[in-house]
Amino acid sequence: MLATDNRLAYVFTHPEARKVLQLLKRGPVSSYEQVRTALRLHPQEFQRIVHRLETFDLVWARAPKGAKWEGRRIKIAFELAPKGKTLLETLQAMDRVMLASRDRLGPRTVDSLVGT
Amino acid sequence: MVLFLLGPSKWAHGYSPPTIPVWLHEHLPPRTTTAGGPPTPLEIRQALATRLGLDGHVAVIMESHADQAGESKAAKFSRLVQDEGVTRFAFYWPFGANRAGMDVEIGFVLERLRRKEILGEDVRILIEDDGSKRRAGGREAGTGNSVTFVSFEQGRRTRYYGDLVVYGAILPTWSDYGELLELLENIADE
Repeated sequence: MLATDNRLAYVFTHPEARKVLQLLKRGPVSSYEQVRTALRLHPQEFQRIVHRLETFDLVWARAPKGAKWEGRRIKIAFELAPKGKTLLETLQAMDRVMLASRDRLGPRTVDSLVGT
Repeated sequence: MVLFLLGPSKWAHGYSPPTIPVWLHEHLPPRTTTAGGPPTPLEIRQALATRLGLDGHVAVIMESHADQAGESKAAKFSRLVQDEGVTRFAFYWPFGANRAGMDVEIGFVLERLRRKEILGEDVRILIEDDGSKRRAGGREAGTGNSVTFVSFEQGRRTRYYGDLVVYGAILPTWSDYGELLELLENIADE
């Protein structure tokens, strides 16, 4: 069993994390409402997943261009980091390999791991 | 990938920092004085750099390198960036630190950002947020459910910290030293 401090193993075994990466692939997310609508994830659950993905350096949080401080507060957005993009591409390649072997490995083994 | 690990050197007066884990404590540098007390933020940065080195990562600590004769702080900073091949700048940003001396280091990094020698994503501000007592900064929902970053430490932000954020520095948070080390390892893992 791979440890969960391996970023690839973590996302491979946590479908919600992959969904978050796929959402961010479409563009930065700057509102919790966007997340709720797109993923049906509670904001707290999204924050928990995003925090883990940030620790893996797969997702970045930063102020978008033109953002200004309002007192002690500034708007930020979550975005897919280059490593997150590479990881998604790796998972897609793994999907293709698994699907090519679906008949031999069996749908019960393959289907739950492909795509999400 | 070589990381310049910047940050405060002292705790704020009267602040009692949490005990650091054993795996970090064992990498603290030997003290040159008989002064007691908990490890300083500088000693913690040095211990983190040593720990990162065990896994083959290189983290540069400005204070760990001797000044050359007649060298200004700005010249030393540039020399280390050049000689060590620094490609990322990370600010260790724990709750309760005295950051008065950090304006100069932040200024060096801001000047590189202004001249477009580096990009916002080359700079990380590693902010402690344990969700309860030690919150240097964190996320909150703003108007219209927007995601906002909030600086919780009034009076300890330093003058130019806000500019780093506006330039697009990445703002990850950490809740304990295990998480901070993991974050540093993942940033350095290229």
